[in-house]
Amino acid sequence: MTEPIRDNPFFVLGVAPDASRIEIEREAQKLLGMLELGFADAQTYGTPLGSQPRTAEAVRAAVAALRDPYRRLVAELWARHAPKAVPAAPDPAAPEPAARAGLRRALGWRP
Amino acid sequence: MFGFALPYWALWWLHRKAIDARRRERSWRYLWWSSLAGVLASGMIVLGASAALLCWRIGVWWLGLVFAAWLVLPNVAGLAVRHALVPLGAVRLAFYGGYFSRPGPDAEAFGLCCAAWAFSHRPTGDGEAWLARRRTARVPLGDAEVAMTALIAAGRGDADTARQLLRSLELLVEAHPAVRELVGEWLAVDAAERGAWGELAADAVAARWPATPLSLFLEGVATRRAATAGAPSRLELRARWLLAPHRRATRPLIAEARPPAPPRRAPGAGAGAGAGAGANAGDAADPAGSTAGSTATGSAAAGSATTGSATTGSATTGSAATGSTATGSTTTGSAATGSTATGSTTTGSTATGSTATGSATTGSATIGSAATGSANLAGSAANGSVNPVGSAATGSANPAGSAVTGSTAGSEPAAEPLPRAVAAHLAFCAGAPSADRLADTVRAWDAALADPSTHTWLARRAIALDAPAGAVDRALREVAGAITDELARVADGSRLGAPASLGPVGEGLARRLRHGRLDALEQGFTRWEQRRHDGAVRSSIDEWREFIALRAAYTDAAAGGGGELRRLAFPHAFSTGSHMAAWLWNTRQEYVLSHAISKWLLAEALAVGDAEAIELGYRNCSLRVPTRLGDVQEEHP
Repeated sequence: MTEPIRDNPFFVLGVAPDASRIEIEREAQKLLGMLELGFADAQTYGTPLGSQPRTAEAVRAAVAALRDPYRRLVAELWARHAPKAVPAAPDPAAPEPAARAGLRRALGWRP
Repeated sequence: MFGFALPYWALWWLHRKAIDARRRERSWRYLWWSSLAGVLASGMIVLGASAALLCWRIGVWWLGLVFAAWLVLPNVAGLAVRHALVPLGAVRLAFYGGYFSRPGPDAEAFGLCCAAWAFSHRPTGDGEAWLARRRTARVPLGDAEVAMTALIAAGRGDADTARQLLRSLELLVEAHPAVRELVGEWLAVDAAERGAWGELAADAVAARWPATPLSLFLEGVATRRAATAGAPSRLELRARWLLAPHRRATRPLIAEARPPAPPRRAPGAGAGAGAGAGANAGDAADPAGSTAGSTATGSAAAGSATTGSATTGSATTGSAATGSTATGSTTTGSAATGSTATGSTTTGSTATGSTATGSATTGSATIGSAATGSANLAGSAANGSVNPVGSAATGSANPAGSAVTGSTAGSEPAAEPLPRAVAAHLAFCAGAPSADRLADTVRAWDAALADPSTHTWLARRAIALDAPAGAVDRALREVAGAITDELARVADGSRLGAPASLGPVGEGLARRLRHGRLDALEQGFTRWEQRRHDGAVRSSIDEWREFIALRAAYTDAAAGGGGELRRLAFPHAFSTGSHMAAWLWNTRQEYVLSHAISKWLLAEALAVGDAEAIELGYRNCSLRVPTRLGDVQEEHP
């Protein structure tokens, strides 16, 4: 379920979920120009899952998605409610770090 | 020569008795028997060497060599195999070393295992072909053949297959003690390498395998770490370490062999009040609930109409409710008619799909607490008022009011459940999947998607964006479907069960997992049986491997899907398994394998309460099983 967050049009374009249609189009044009010129700042975009590579195709797809009211509604649902960042919680069920690599071999067994 | 022969024979007889006695022990007495066996072996070596020397001195050197080979070599062959032939990868020499170490009747079995052990150190094509030939020549299949196959797999680096095969020996009635010792040692060392001390401690407590000095030491470390009853004292552990080989490698384990420190209570933990306490109670209750559910299923199929051999729907009546109530799941439709024959579980949880509250519990306190906790969670999910994620935000105010009154198109919608669900989902996808995390995520989503504030916010935005009619419902369906797909994929990959949660995600996930796993199981069992009709006969070891793979899939599915899925899957497994067991017994003369399959089917029949299958299982399992060590007949109550 990371796609709606990772590929979210709002994150791809770097605009707020309540951005107007004009703001979205303007931002997309700006990003396409920057990508064309190879600006480093435009090469990636931030998401709650970390930085993602931005391409001209992704920008065009994002603009197209946000032009459709239904698709924008779904994208907005994800973008508006996604956390700023998700630190990986320690797994309570993970075994304690007591594994000993190579012990089997040291005790005369394989592999 | 009688001056040598009689004492030697007496020492040999005592040595065998000491070894046999040692195999039954796991305490100080093990050390005493080991010491005695060592002394007796030394005596035999001295006597044998004296006889050989005497022959040499009187000029019959060839007789001296015979005596040396006959009286001395068997006593040092075991050490030579472990410390020289196996590390060198000398397959054939290891076979003869194991063979002549006189491990009891059917010495070839132990020899083959020693050869496979040597092969695992230095795998060669020639060695593998030789081992395969020897294995094929031994019909029917027994524990030694399975063990050597496992060691060959280990030699190829496939530890999982080796572990699975070695664990399957528990089902086989043919038991060569020396082979079982090797198996127990491999599993103990494997568990120690993986840090699976709990698994090893369970093996030790159940005394599943006769212990070698090395496995006894590792079991001591495990039981001390797990703080189980019967754990050795520090002094005894030292003694075990001294007795075991590879002391340099095992020395660090002595320091680690102490019980884990009890978790410290954070200051003010008790002041966390309502929310935390509730969440913890629910979490703590889960294992108890699942245990209760799984153990309470035995007597619940009183009304199951089991007419045929195994293809009837025996899994339906009442029993579905027993497995699910303790965990608070809601078996909507299908099988939950609710009458249970057991006295300690709840009845009639949610056959209608409304809420799971009020599941009356009787019996022990743990079961009661489990049912209470799960009922709370299910109830909260249905009401949509309390966050089921637990930790921080439980007990927070119901966000519905603020969402309805205050949200505008541009402002923050204040829909607490939805951000919480997204956060739980991302955390679940980012970390290692676990049943608790999955349950948290599913409940969070069901609460969020059922929350009025979510609907209100979506409706407002749909109007503002001029979305087409029905966009809100469509969006909710799409989101729920995408989430269910993703969670089902992860849960299936991690063999997690569907958590109990009322809502589109919880119910969809349960349905998806149940159907997918059932279909996969039925296909697997059908393929297995179909081969019997196609005439595509495989070698006995491959038949066994297929069976244990199916058994593992069945066990995983039952563990993930709970009692309900187990009861649904059993009839087909029983039908195909019974036919295969009969075929293996009557046509292939694979008595040990056939008996093992019947034994497993009987255990499952008892678990799901299929009366007819139980009767047939008892009949099959009470048959006398011919093995290389004599006929075995197991007693069943």
